Amino acid sequence: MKAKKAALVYNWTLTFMVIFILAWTLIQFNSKYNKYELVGKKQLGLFKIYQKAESPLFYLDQSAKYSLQQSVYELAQNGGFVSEFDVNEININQPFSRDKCGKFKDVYVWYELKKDESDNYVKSQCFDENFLNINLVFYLDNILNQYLINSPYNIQINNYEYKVKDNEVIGKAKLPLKFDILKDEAKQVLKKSIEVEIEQLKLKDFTDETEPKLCAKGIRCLLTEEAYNLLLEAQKIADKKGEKLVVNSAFRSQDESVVIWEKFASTYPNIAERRKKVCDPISKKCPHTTGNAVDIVFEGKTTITMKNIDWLTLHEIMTSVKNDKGEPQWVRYGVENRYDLWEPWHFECCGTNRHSRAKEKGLTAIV
Amino acid sequence: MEAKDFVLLMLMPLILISLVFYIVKSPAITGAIAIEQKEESNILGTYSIMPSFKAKIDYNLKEEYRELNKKINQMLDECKNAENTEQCFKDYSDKFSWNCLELKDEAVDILYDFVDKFNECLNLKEDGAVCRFSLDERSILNLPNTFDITLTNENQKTRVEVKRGTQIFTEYINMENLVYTDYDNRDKLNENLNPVKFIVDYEGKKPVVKDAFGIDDNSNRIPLSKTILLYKKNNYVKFVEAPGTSFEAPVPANKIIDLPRTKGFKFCAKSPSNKQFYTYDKSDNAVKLRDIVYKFAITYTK
Repeated sequence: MKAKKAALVYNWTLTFMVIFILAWTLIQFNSKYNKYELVGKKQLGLFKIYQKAESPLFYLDQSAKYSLQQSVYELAQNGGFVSEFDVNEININQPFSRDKCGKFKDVYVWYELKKDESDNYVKSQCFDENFLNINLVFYLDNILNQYLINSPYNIQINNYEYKVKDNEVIGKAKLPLKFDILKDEAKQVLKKSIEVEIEQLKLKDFTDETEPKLCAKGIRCLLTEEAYNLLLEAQKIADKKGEKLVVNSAFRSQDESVVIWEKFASTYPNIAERRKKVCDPISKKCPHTTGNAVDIVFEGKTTITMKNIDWLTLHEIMTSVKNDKGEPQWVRYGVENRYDLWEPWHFECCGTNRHSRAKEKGLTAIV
Repeated sequence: MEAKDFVLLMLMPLILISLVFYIVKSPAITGAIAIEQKEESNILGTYSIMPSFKAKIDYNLKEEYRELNKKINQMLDECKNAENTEQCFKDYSDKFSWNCLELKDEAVDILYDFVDKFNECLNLKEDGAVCRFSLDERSILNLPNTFDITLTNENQKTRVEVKRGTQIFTEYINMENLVYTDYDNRDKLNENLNPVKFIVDYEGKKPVVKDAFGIDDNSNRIPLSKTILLYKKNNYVKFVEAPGTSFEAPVPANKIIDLPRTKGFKFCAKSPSNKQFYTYDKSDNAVKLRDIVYKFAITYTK
């Protein structure tokens, strides 16, 4: 056989065939059976998530450091006080100590000299160092919230219990940061609203919803399904007007309402005055605990920067959502045709006390 | 070559061809189907972590304020017995380097002049009294010398704007509604106004109210007294409908209080430990190394 040329040809042909067929087999195997995960892929994904979580934590540490410096500066500029007029929908959860003697020009009064009966000056102190910490925290929380809103990460705002020591502030988080461990990072995850049950209420959680994105960054948004659907309808109307609705506050649990109410006891010791600023959850059912109330502004604006014309447009959008009988489904907390009183950002639907009263009287806004 | 080697050699192409057939014809393995179905959810699980933090700063808040307070009390003990209180404050302000070196528009001074007097009326202990005031005399160095003072309701507070040309400066007053009254119904009448406007011209140093009016709920123009008069009743102040002369009739007709009854002095004290931090300030819209400056005021009755 050695001597025969045909045998040589056979050997070479066989060798090439083996190489070709094995290569082809490998390709075929890969295309058919590549659904199997590589060993350690999950573990690798987990490591990647650990690393990914480090970025927002680092961002948070740096933000807290800069916020603290800024808050010390602003606190000093405002003479240790907080202006009531600086309270907005973002920092509403943080209490503060109010000034006792008002302002002179653009600064707060620390001392008053008043004449007594014998025409001598008597000193009265308006400044108390005991409220410095609470006011520092108010500024810190407010500035930190701005950092978090502008961050590339979804870090929840108003999420801290603060403790001030001599030269450090500890921010203890109330809720965790959550990261999805993905099988394939190349594939985007589209998130929809999910159903949750809290305090016997079936709610839609649209905090992480990707499209439409109705919830403000860093806020937890829950509504009843009915309210959520009405909000989607309102957004469709807003789309036609070239506006985007942003929900700053939705469902608030009874416990959360009580915490806010009690926090503000130091700021507004007079209960009647406090009731004007914060809902009293002990004497009545607060609208936000029903899951049928929302606080809304337009995208890119805050309650401070929204003008009367914006409030009017928002009112028109929300009250354009109607039922079969042509009745408006959302009702504003305020007075008809006035956007400077009460809360022009607060709307209620679906049979809340305010909604029912307004419906009965044929109004679109009621106190 | 032995026979068995020959058979093996001949079998090799057969084995290879069988392999090709097996690969081509065989379906994907059964286990993969389950994996394909699961793939609809791309999420394996969730990792959660509490984002708590600790921020340190080389600054002792209470120590700083305590240090400052000591100096203020030293100053107050001295100045309350001084013949000229204002001069005493000024001397101490120079001594401690607590002067406020701020370049501010004249409109800002006018804004705070108006707001301070309005607030003083609002916070008066007296009830059923008429507050009367005018703006301070001042040299207006830049033109125009006309200032529009506008008060509007905004979210349960009153917004005060002073406008000169295109520049607008704003402050807030803690009062929910703007209302006006006439003399006969002064204790009962509370008609809404929104906005309220005062147009002030400076003739030399003297401020002259050229026009004063408000717009009521029916969009009617309600002329108001050009002497700035406010009627204080039940912790509320009401604007006075023009001409308002009856409100200026002296006791026993009216209890007139000319404002201001209180004067004040503003201080800008640098941190006692000379602390500086990198911070943002909207006045220059920049982040830079800045002194910590405590701004406060002391008021005294005339």
